[in-house]
Amino acid sequence: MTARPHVLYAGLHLLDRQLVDADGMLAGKVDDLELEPDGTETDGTGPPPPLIVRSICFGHGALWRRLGSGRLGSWLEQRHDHPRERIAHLPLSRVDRIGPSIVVTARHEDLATYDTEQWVRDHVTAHIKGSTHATE
Amino acid sequence: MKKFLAVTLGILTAIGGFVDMGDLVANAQTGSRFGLSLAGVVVIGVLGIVVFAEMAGRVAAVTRRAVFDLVRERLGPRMGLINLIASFFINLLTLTAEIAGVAISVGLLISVSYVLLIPLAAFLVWLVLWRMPFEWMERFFGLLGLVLIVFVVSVFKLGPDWGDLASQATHPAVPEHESLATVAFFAIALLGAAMTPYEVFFFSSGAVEEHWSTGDLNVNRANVFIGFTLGGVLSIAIMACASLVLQPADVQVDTLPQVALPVAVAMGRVGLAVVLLGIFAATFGAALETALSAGYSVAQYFGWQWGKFVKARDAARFHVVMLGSVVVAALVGMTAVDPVKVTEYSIVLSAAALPLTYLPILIVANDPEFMGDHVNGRLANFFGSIYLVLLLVVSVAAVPLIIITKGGSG
Repeated sequence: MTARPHVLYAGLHLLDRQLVDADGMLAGKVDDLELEPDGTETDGTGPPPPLIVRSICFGHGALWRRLGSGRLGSWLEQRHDHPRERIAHLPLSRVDRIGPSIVVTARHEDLATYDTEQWVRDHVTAHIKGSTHATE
Repeated sequence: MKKFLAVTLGILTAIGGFVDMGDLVANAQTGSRFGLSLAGVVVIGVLGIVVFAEMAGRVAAVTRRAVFDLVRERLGPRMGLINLIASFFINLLTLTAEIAGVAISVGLLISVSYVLLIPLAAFLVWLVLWRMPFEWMERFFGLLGLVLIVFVVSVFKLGPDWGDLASQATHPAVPEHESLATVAFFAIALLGAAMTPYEVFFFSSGAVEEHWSTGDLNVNRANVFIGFTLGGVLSIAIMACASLVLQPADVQVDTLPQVALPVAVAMGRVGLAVVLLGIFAATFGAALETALSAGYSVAQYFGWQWGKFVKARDAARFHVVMLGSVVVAALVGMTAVDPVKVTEYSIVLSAAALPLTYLPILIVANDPEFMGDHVNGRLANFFGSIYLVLLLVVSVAAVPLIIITKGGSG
């Protein structure tokens, strides 16, 4: 439907865009990007090698870092580093489609952005009658 | 035929849902103080909301992305967060005013102090948000709000000198005992009432809730062009009623019942009952819209699952933001703050915050990568740009005017 651009600008086409999971559920925003040199050999005199996007980052840690509080961001992110915790970044290969939203091949429950959702669901909405009824 | 009915229903809902506490108060106040001389501002405001709501609805239908989604993307996380905090605060003020409006209209019908009814009104608002399907909710309160046409009927019943009304409306002037600053303050209030940011948050998110696609662009246009314009006619009728009954009696509007007074004068007890029902429907509907907008804006900034189209357990954070907003608004309302003052501040501050919300809409509506063949035409861009300049001026002037005029009382 929307024409695919010939050139993707990471800052424009990825950053701050809505994440949608494999089932169509809203799963957070692309809060930050992880960049790395593209691997071409340089002799140290020429321009530095171009950067490529390695992965998209999401969750409060990445957002706080972009908002300017690096220390708070890193602390929040470390909380996700435990192996059994949810993941706070996905490699670009897990990105299925880049359009008005970014569709990823993951489930929203497995992403770091689901932590607060689950807490609120278990501690607040689950205690109110009718939370499992669709209103439509 | 079915399509025709759906479009008609949408238009009627848009008319009935257009008026809220801000429109009721601002139009009655200006009518009682300045006659119809500021009616032109209502026309400017209605055209403005038509231009930007059409864009926001079109973007939502084509991309399934609502306004605050675009705000974060186009303004970035920092400016987006500033806009979120400002919009959320203004939204809370508006919600407080709407819940008070519900309580006041019911309180008048059953002769109970409105402050006592606020907890009940807030609970009912929350219950509808928690359980009633989106379309039912929108249609029920929108259609019930149509009884506000009683303001139009009242203008005819009052048998005005039409030539005089027309000449007031076409010759805006500063009355001798009023200052230019006061007139400007009320003009901004009227503009803010017609163009409040929550309207586009709600309208665009509603388009996603109702699963609009490019096939619904006609519905979008019909709702906005016809529905909002006729909603604007109701606003001007409220102003005309106040100018015909309250201005000659030198009554200045500082309570909600005074807004209903001209209808009682024109049409007696039945008229009064009908107008109170209309005010109830309009404020209840707007309370739902502002509470939803609180949830929509926060959830769309952070990318959380939102919407009444999923089960509440799947959009837990969204529902909790709405619940929290309703509780805070009710608590503020129960301190017996003056609901009319709260309304005034909410609409003037709304006007100040408008550019931050409308700029991203204009940018995205022009992005062919997002919009394909449905990008803005020349007309939409012409009006969109003019309004952005106007809104920037308004935005700079709003807060100084609040201070100079002491909130319109100077």
